[in-house]
Amino acid sequence: MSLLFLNALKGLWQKKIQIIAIILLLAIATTLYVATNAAVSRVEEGYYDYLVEQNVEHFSFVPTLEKIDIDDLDLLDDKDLTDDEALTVQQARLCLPDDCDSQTMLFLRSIFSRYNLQVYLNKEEIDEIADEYGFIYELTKSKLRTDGNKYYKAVPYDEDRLINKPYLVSGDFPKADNEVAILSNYAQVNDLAIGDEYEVNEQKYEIVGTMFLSDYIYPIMTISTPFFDEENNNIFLMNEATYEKFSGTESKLFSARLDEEYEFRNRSYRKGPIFGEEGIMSEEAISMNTENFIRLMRVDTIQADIEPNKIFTNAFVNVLLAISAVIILIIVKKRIENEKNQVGILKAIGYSASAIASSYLVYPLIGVLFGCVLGYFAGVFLSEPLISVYVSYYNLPLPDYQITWEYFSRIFLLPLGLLAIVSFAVAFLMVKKPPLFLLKEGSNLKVNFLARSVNKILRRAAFRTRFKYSLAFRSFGKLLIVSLVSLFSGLLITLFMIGNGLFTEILDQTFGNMKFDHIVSYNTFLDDEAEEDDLFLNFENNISKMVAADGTEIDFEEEITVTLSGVDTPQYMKIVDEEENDLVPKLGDENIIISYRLAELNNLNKDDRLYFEINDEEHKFIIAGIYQDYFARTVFVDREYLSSLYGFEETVYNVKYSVDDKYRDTGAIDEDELDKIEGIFSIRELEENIKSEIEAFDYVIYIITTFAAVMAFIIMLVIANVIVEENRKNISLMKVLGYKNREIGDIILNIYTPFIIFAYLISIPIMINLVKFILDYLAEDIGFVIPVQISIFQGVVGLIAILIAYYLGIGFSRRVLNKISLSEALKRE
Amino acid sequence: MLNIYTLKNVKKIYNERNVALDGVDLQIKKGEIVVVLGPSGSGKSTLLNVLSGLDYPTSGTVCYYQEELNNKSAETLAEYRYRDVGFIFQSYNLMPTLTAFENIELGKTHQNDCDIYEIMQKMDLSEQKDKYPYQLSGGQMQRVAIARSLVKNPEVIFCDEPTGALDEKIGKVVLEKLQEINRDQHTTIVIVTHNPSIAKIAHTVVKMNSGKIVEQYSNKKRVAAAELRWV
Repeated sequence: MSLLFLNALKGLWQKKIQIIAIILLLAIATTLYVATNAAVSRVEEGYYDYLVEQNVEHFSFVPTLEKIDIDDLDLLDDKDLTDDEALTVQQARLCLPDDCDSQTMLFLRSIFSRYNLQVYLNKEEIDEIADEYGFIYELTKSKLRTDGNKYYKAVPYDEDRLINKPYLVSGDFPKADNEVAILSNYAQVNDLAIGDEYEVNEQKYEIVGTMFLSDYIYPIMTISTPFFDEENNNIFLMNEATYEKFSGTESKLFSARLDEEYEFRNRSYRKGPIFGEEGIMSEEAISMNTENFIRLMRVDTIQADIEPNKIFTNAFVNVLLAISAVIILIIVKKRIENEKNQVGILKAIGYSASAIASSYLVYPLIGVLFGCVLGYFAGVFLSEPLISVYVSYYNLPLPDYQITWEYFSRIFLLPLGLLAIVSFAVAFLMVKKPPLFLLKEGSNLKVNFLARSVNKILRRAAFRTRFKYSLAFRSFGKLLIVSLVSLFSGLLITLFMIGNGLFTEILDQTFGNMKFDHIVSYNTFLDDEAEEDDLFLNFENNISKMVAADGTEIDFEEEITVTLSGVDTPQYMKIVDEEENDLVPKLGDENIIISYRLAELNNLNKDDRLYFEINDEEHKFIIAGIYQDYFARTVFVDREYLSSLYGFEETVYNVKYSVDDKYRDTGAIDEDELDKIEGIFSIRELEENIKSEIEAFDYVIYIITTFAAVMAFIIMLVIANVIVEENRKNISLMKVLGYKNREIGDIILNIYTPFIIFAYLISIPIMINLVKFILDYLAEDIGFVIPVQISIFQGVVGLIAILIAYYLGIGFSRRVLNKISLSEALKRE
Repeated sequence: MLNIYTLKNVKKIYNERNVALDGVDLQIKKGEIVVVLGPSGSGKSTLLNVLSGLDYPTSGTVCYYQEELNNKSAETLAEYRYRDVGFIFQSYNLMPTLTAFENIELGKTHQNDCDIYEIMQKMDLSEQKDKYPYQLSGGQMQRVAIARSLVKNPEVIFCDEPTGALDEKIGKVVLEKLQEINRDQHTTIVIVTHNPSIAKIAHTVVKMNSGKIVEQYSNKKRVAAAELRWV
């Protein structure tokens, strides 16, 4: 046994290209796994610890505005109401609780919302629901101030807080007036240290501590800047008195945490009274869109950011492992075929099949020993940039990197076990044949039915064509494996084509259609005609029914919430289809335009119908077009028509898309408008934020796809090498007969070329559908859909790339071909 | 008769301890059958490799007609084999995926007047045209190999233990076919073997040992008969 193993070990040197290929494949698989998981697991571990130790909220909410009691109107007594508002309040005093019309209630709610008074409504109902669903909640207030691209959020420090406790990194929490603790990352990036003075709005503060104060993974500065930017976003923790003096826009909401063990992946909490139609959240609240956004951001961030990476890399690593197993299978099989006589002799002199087969375990052993170890260190090295991308906006204390048993088994034991089983199984099946069969002379090898049939079909073809195909079809198993491996290569190349630069492209495309700078949302409904801006009337609503163009109802399980957006003729927002055709003219009373994301996720097409309940009546809309937006869940409706459906006599708006510079600085907006503004959303900042947010995902995709291309090359190299190896005798004979190397190369090295091309062509739709399936599955988590497609040009480029890889592989193998001795054919078997 | 091969002081040394050919001088006449006899390791296969252009001598000259082979490039030697040389091996070396007909076609490396059907008929292989090697007997496979070497109408056929894998009866048939080819087409045939009984068909017998020619003689009766035929 040991002698046999030693013999197999020595034989490795003669198969340099093949063993190097195995090592590289395993190294790539391990590198990818370690690089992504080392980063992800550290963030994930830190994340879960942080959630528990700091009692991070599970969700936040703003109480409903649906039910307003007559006593609640007293909360408005000390507010400086406008004439219209005062009139509405007077009307409400007469009609509450049950006799108010919908427009009065709509205005009343907007007044409560504007003065940030929702948190004082419906306390008893909230307590009842909290008891029933087992959560605690407490008021969270903060003030936001912007200064250019800097965002400062002031939060009062209360050491008795139950939820969202700050995590102190260094120094102390602020106790005295004008002392602040600031975000650790912000301090680091901006070279701030404890004891430094820091000035905001002409007020000097002393930094006494650095800390983390993340809402879930990263701190949410404001609804309009949901993605964290460590360089420009800072949170000041300060005592109550300093907070009171801090000048900024105040927001109040409730942070809540469920009492019992919380299951992060269980989404059932989304339904029911906490968020659903019966309870706290108002369906018609103006801020609903952004409230939903918070809800999504806080609870699902881990899934949005980490799960896709994990799923993608784990799946990919398994594919790589499978490819490695197939390659090892080919190599072991080839090796035994070459050593058939030797194996026959060993069996003839009494060695058992299992003893001989065991010697072929040298391939997985050497492959794992070198490949996985190499991959491990390369992975740790590559994980560093990824970790730095993550921590730049994840603002969490990260634990040190540790190799766990799970890691060890995934990196070393799983590949070793899998590849050892494959190698042993193949070797055993081959060497268990009787010695006399193994000792049989080569010319006596049977020709299978497939090869004979192909020969018959091609009998009128030129001799070289027949010769080529007779070699290709001589073993159906081998042909299948070559085709499969080529298919893998094709899949990897296609993945490379799909993935490379995909995110940048869809971002450019999406934001390219947005020529405005700011989205200004109002806490009331306006009917003036601001001609220089694009005006929208936005409401959140749920789709109540979907019907296909042919009349069949489309089933859907989960509630689909969309933004019904009334629009007329926007100047700055391009609503175009994939061929850049303007879709706005298609809008009519019932004709709507939906986003690509909405269409893709729900399999909706043009002419399908959507139904919405508005003011207790169901309304039908027909999809007249699908516009290119991969992020939004928007349904565009004619604004005039939408206004009338919601009971407005005038055509109103509550959102404005503007290019006006005044919205960059709240100080430049006049008081009257400022009072009505719910939020200002900088689209360019959002673009930058989203870009930085998906940087990590892009980085992973970039690594994966680049490695995929490298793997495709390695696989092609192995195929070319195996072709040369298995045809040594034929090549030698042809050389003896006087065929030139070029002619031999043309005939023998090209035998699988048509199959490689065929396999590549098949791989394109397979990979497109596979990626589509994965991304559709992940779409809910990552928050946008990705159009997966390949142009004909890309397809051709991919084909050229795979053929170049193959011919480069052949180029390497030609050296082997040239070295094949002429006397090889003269050797007696 | 014209010399097809002239070897002068040919040496082939693999390393100091392994001298395969040690100063061989030999002349082979066109149209004769030469049998090279010798035990294993005597240098007979190396001699065949050097003559057929499969290998270069370390020193000395190997002339094919007037042309020196020892200083030709590998490409030129390939052309020489392509054009003028046929091979027959002990283990047939047929392509298992090609039929008997196609295996013969494989040997037709350039266009000539040779008709494969005619050659198959001559080799008694007409019935086996569409059979694959695994469906043929050892004798039939060796006849396919002979037919493959004939199809290019070569000047010379080199045979490496052509009957080594065959029983005596079938081996005899194969040797008869070789004689027939030599007789009908004046093809020079060089046979390397350790089987002394094959020497019976030779015009010239060359005995080798330790890389040297230790004995060389003509089978006078056969030579005379041959000369008579060729006049």
